[in-house]
Amino acid sequence: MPIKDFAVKAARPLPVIILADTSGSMGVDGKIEALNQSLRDMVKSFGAESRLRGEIHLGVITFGGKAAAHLPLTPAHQIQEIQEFVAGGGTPMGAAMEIARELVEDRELIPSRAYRPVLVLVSDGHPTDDWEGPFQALLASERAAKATRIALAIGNDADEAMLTEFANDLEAPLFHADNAAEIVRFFRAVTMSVAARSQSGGDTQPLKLDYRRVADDEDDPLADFFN
Amino acid sequence: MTDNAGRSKTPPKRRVVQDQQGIEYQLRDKLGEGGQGVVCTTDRDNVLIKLFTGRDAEQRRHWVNRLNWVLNQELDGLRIARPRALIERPYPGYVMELMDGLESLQASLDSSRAALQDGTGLSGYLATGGLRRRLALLRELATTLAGLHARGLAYGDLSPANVFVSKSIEHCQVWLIDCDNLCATERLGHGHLYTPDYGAPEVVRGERGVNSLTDAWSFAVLAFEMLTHGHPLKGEAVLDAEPEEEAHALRGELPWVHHPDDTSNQACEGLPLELVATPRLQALFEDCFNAGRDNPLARPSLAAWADALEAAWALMLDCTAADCRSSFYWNEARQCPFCDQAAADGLLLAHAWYSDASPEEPHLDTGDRLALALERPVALHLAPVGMRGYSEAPLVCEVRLDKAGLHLTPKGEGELTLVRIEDGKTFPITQPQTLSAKADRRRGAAAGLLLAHPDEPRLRPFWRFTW
Repeated sequence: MPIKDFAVKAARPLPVIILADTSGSMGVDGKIEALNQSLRDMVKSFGAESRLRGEIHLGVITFGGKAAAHLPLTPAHQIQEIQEFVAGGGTPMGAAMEIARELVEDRELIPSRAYRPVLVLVSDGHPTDDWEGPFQALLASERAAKATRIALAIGNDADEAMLTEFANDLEAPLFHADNAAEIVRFFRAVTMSVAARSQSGGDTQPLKLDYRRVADDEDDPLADFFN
Repeated sequence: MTDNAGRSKTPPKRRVVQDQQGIEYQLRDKLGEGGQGVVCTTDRDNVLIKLFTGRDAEQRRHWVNRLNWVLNQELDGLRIARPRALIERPYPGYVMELMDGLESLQASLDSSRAALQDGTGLSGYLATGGLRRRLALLRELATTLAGLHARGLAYGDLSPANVFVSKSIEHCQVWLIDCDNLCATERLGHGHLYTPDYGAPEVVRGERGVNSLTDAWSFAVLAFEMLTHGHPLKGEAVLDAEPEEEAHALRGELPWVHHPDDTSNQACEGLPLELVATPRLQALFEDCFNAGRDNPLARPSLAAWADALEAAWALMLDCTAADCRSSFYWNEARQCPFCDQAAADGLLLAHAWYSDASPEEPHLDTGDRLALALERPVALHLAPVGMRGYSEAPLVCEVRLDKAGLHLTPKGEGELTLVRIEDGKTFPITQPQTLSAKADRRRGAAAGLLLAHPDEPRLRPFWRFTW
């Protein structure tokens, strides 16, 4: 006689959507390599998280030459591998915003029982397409408006005004990365705080990026360890 | 993060912390990480370090003060990884020892639940020891918490991440870590620290601090989760609803999933409670989550839990179906509720006290029962099962059931007498004896074992059974 089965609900999804700049300028100074490394680490960490109170789903949208859904929204523990980014082309951020809006508003991919999504925008330049319409549409959409939105400006050429408007975390208006190592560390901080949120089983509290653990604290000999 | 352009060129720093005596510990891996602390393994075997990493100076001072207070508490004899030494630099923290071969209960719950979720059914439940081991682990945990409460202390932030259990399912060690949350009385104005899902409603609402009554709530949630893989407050009204509904439930604003009258939030996931909890355990859950939801004083004590878990554990039989092997509660048909196959054999012993004072009815039934599963020897002590003192009471004999029969072995100074109920005839058992399982010898007659021990001459347990 077969053993009986008993249903349990999947833990509430916690959608994390990365909008990654993969334009040509990302190809220099190890930036795209850092981004690739960061994503691999993130997938590995998310996949190992407890699923008792929340299940992290990860989706990646790239914009380099053209905007594309690089990784459809997938439960992190099911992601086998993530295709490497290749830098090239312009910065069609508007098209990426459009994809992001459709994804966030998709009630099948993100059911109403899901936790509020986390949107992470990473860019080193200015949009090269007609971006303002899609950008405002994203910010105005019901779910993206409620989402936690974080932005990272890489280098000095990033469109900081736009990234600042994108970010809605009052404690962390806009992050900056001056080199490849800082990109990696930014993603570690995002990974840690998303993991903490999935564990705390809720989004009632702001997603707190711990600056100290991202910054290199000169008087902190354990900074490496915590980063 | 903009002030460190040259950082990658500096050599990696040593991850070393030092305790008050100047002993150095090299940090290895992070075992766990909470809001303001991190627990790490070190280069020393079985030595863990917990560091307070919060930045707020006031909170840090408060944490260190509390830790100094914990260091002075009498925790000997309790399975709590207590602070052994203080770390002062570069973060405040402490050193604790934890024996080898343990893992967090969270890891074990995770793998068991993932199996149910990913379509491999109860395989994870069984791989983590099934019902029998869950009851044993919970009994151990309840006993530790009851011991803590008996000393006037409360644990504070009970969650599966703070409970460490044997990795091997052959063992049932349970240790609490993270004892820096220990407190003597209700803690007001200290942030109401709790782990989501396990915090008592009044703590989640921010009205009260933690104490032994909030420990009682957290324990009951953990027990319910371990046994059923459900949450007592997350039923139909919560699981498919938006996250806000869950927040309402955890604040105690919805009925519990097995509320006797209000079915608006009834259970809709996990194992049925009646399969994994005895009526006595079910009653404790009801008291805790129904009346105890709003009234902390209505929650059963940890001592009550420990007793009921011990009694439940004594009723386990093993399914003999090769693809099942579940452990389950004794029932007359000895039928495994997980696969419906009947177990090969089993014997129920009913506990009574023997009293000379009323020769007409000398057996005072206590209601306690003990199931003998095949090939699982049970030690009989003077105290009844279902009491935490059971295993410490004087040992009288060992009984073991196998295909050949019921083996009776007197132990130590214990005096064992076999009684035939129909005519009252007695047979002293002074050396190992076997009641044969052959059909002509096992005929369904009423019998009993009378126990005695010179240490406690007035206690005469009588275990009645049918053979």
